[in-house]
Amino acid sequence: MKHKLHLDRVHLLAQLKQMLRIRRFEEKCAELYGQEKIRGFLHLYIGEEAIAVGVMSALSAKDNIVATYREHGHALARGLSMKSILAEMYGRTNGCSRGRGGSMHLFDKNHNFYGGNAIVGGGLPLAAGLAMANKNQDKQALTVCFFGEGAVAEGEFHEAMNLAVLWKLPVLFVCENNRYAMGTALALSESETNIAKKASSYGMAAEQVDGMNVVDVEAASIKAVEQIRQTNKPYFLECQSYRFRGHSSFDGQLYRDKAEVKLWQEKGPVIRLITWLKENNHLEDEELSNIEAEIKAEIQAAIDFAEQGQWEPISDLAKDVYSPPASSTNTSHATNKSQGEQL
Amino acid sequence: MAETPIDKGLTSTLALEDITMPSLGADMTEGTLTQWLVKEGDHVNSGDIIAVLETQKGAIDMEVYSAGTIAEILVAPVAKVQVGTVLARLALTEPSKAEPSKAEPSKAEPSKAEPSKAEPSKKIATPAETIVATANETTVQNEDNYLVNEQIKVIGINASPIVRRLAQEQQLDLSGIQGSGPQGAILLADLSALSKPKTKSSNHDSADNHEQNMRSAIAAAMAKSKQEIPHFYLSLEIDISAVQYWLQQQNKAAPPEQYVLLLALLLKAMAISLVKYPKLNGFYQGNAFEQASTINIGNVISLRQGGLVVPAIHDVDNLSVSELMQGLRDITARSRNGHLRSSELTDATITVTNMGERGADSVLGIIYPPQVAILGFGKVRKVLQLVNDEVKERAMLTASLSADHRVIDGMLAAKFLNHLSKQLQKPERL
Amino acid sequence: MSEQVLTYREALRAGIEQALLDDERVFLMGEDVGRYGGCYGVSKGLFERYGAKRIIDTPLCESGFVGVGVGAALGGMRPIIEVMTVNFSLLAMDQIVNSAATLRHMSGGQLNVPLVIRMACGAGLQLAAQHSHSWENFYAHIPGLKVLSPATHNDARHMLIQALADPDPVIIFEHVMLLNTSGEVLEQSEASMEKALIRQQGTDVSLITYGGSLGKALAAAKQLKDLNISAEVVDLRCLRPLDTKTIIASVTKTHRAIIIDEAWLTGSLAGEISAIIMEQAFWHLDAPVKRLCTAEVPIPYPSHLEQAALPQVEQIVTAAQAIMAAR
Repeated sequence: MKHKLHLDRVHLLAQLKQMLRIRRFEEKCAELYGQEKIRGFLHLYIGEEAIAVGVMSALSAKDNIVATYREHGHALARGLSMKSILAEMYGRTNGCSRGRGGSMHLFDKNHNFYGGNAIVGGGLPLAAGLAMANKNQDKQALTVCFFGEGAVAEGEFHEAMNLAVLWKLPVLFVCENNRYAMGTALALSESETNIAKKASSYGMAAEQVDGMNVVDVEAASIKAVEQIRQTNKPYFLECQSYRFRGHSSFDGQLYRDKAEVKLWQEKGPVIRLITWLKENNHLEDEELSNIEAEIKAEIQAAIDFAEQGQWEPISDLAKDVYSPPASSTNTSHATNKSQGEQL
Repeated sequence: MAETPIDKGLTSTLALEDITMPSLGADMTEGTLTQWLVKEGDHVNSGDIIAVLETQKGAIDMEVYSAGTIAEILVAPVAKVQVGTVLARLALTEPSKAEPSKAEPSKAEPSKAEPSKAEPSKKIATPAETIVATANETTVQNEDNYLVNEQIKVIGINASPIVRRLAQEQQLDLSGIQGSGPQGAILLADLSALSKPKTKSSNHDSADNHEQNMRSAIAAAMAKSKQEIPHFYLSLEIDISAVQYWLQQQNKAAPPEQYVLLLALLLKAMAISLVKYPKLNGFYQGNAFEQASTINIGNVISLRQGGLVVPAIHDVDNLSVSELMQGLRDITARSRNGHLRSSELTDATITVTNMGERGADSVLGIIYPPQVAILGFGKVRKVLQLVNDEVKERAMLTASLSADHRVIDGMLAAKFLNHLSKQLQKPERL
Repeated sequence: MSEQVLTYREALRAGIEQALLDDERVFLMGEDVGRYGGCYGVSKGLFERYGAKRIIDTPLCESGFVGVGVGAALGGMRPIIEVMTVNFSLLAMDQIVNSAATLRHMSGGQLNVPLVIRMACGAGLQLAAQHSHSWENFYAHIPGLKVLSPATHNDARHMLIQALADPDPVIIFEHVMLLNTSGEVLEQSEASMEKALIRQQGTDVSLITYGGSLGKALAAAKQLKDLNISAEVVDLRCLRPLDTKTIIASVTKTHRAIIIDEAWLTGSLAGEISAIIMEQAFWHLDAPVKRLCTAEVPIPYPSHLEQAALPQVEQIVTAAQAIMAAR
C-alpha cells in the first residue's frame, strides 16, 4: 500500500511521458476541435499536467477520482485509454461514456473515475459522499477530488470542507489553482487568496505545493495519501499552477497579458522536467524523439478508433435516463456492490 | 346564402313559379311544413334547401328546383297541408315554363311572411359547415337583427369531443341536435336522449307514433307492390374473391373514414350492367314501361329507431368508386338523422337491398313501384371450391333479382346477373 | 394479512425502520433527524436504536449533505436523505438535478444513483411563505428522477421500501397535514410505486389528485354521491413517471376530469396531466378538463387566507356539479 517516491530515471521518464501524452493529446484535440471533429466546450489542461500526473501516481486502483470538466489529463493519467477518451469527445458509442458525455463528462467505472463534473463545486460533496461510503464499508480506499480555485467561492466547497473534517472522511482535496476562474483572477474573487489557509481553517491538514513540478506534486501526494490512510481524515493540497491556454477553446484571453502567459510557460512542467533531465544527462534527444513518436502513434490510433466509432442510433435516445426496469433491478444493485468490493 | 333584395324594376318582368308541398313517396298525401330556411327576398339556386318538412318518414329537407328569388311565402310553419299546396312563390331568374297558379294558397293560415328564426343553411349541410344559430323566442324583425344576434351565433357545430367522435363513427349529423351544454354545445347526454325515444323529440308526433307511421307507410307500399306486380325471382352465386382482395389492398393504407366498402363496387358493377340491360332501369306506369335516362339506384337503409328509407344515389354509372363510396356515406348519415332531400326519396330507377355481414345468405326483395326491379345481395360466404383442380377458399355472394314480368323476362334477367358477375371479376376496371 | 392503524408519521417511521433492518447499506441522514428526532418527529427514537452511524445528523448545508448522499449512493450505500421541507431543497437542487438525475445518463449507463430523498411539503400548518409549498412539479419535471407522493398511510409505510429497491434516485414528498392523521396500514403495498390507484370507483367524473389533496377529493366524492354524481378518485401516487394509462382509462370511462393539485396553477402538474388528457383522451371528453390548484400567492400566514389559497372540498364539489350541469 505504501508508496515511496522513486526519483530514479525510469520513473521520471515515465512521468515525462505521461505529461507529454496529455500535452500532445490536447494539442491534437484543439486541432480536431477546429476541424469540428470535437464539439461542445473543450477545456484544455495544458500547463497543469504535473498535478494530475503527480497525484495519480500516488494512488491505488481502489481509490476513487472525482474530477472537473477540465479532466482529459486526469483521465489519461488515471489509465483510461486515449482511444476511449477521444471517442467520447467524438460523441461515439465506443467512448468511455458511450458518447453521452463528451469532453466534460468522462466516466469510467472500471477505473473508479467518477467524472467529468461540470458544475463548479458540485463534485466536492460527491467526493465526500464516496469517501463516506468507502469508510462505512471499510473499503480502504480514498477519494481524490480535483477542483479549480474558482470552486472555492462556492458554498459547496465550504459545506464539503466542513463535512469532510466533521465526519473524518478519507478525501484528498486537490485544488488546482490556475489563478483564473474563467477570466476572473484569484485576487478579484477571493478575500483570502491562500486557499490552503482556508482549508486549514476547517481543521484540515493542508499545504501549498508547486503544481508545475511533477516531483513536488507526487511527493506531496504520497505524503497526503499516507496520512489519509492512517488517520481516515481528509487532506488538502493546493497546487499552484497556470493554464497556458484559454478557459475553453473559445476564449480571447482579454483578462491577462501575453507576457504573463509567456512567463509561466517558461516555468512549464514539461519543459522544466526535460531541462532537468537533460542537464543531468538522463535524457538523450533520441529518447525524447522516441517518446514523441510513440505518443504520436498512440494519438493516431486514438483518432482512427474514434473515427471508426458508431453514432448511437436516435432510437436509443431515451436510453440510460433510468436503469432498466424490474428484473434487472436486483442484479444492478448486486453489481454495484460487488464492483466496489472487487476493486 | 346571399340575400338579394328584389330589384323592384325587374320584378314585374320576372316569371313566378309556385313552390308546392311535394309528394315524396307514392303514399304521401300530406305533409307538415315545420320550418322555412329562407325568407322573402332571399336568392336561391336550384337544389338549395329552403324548408324542412315533417313526413311519415321523418324530417325531410325540401329543395327548390329553380333559381330565383323568394317572392312570397304563403304558408307559415307549423302547418299540415295537402300535397300540391302552394307554399311560396319564386321569382325566377330564368323565364319559367309553368305559369303560377291563381293564388288560392291553402287551407292553412297564410302567414304574414314571417322570416325564419334559423339561418338558411348551405346547399349541402355537412356538419362542419352548418351554421347553428341558437334559436331564441324573439322574432327577427329585419336584416339587421341577424347582426345583433351574432353574439349568440356559433360557427360550426358546438359539440364535445366525444360527441364529435361518435358522430363520425356512427355517421350522425349533429346539425339538427339542440345541445344542452355551454353555448348550446351538444354533450353526450344529448345523444343518449336521442336514442331514448321517450325523452326528447322535436317531432310533433311522439317517436313511437313516428315509427308506427313509417311502418304503415312501408306496409302500404309493399302490399301495393305485391298485389300489382307479377314478381319473378332468379339468383346467381357470384365469386367475389377478386373484389375482396382488391378492397383489402385498397383499404390497407387508408384511414377508416376512407375505407371503400363492398357495396360501392357492387353498385358500380350493377350500373355498368344496367347500361347494357336498360330494361331493368325505369318505371312501369299507365300500363307501359318507360326506360329511365339516368341510373339512380335506391338503397334500402334501415334506421336505428326502426323502419327504413330508400334514398337514391344519382347517375351511378357516371360516378367513380370513391365518389360512390362518398355518396353512400352521405346518404347513410343523412338517412339516420332525417336530412334526406325529397328528390332522393322519389327518383330511384332501381333498388338495391344489401344484407351486409350480419344478414342472410340471400334476399328476394319486393319491387318498389313504379320501378321494375330490385336486386338483393346476401352476405359474403367463404366456400371451398375446385379451381383448376385445386381446392381453394373463395368468397361467394348470392345476387338475387326480383323483376317485374310485365317488362322483363327470365332470359334477360339471367343475362343481366351473369354480366354483373363478370364485372365483379375485374374490380380494378370498375 | 394483519392490519394496523398507524398515524402517517408512525407509518413513515416504520418504513424507515424496516429499511434499516433489511439492508445494512441503508442510513438516514438529514438535519436533526437523530438526536432531535426529526423536525416533524418522523425519525424519533431511531437514533437511540440504530446509532450515529445509521442515523446521521447533518449541519445545515442542504447541498452538501444531499451531495454526500449522491456520492454515498455511487459508492454502494443506500442513503435515505431527509430534507426538512421542499423549500429548503432548493438549496440542494444542484445536487439533485445536476448530479443525481444526470449521472447515469452522462456516464453512458455506468453509474446509477440509488438514492432516496424524503421531504416535507404542503400548506395548512400556518408556516407561511417559506415552509409551505407543493413543488413536486419542480422535480417531476426532471428526467432521471422518480417522484412519489404517498397519500395514504399504507403508501407512507411501504413506498420508502419500494423507492429503496429502485436503482435510480427517488424523491418522496410527505404532506405535513397528513402526519397526525391515522389510517390503516397493510402488510404490503397495494401496487408497485409507479402505479396510480383508483381510490374510489365512479362513472361521471374523474377527480385526479395526489398527496395532501386525496382526502379532499374523497370527501368531495362522498358529497357528490348524495348529489347523484358518481365521482372516480384517481390517486396518482407517482408523479414521475406518471401512470398515464390509469389516468386515460379513467377519463375514457367518465368523459370528464377535474385535477386537484396543491401546487400553483401556472406550470403545474395539473397542467401537464390536462395536456396528457387532451393528447390521449380528447375524443372521449364531454367537457373541458378543470384544474383546481392553489391561488397564485406565496402561502400566507393567517389561517383563513391560507385555507382560501388552497383547493378545498367545496370547490371540488362545485366544479363537479358545474361540469355535470348539462346532464
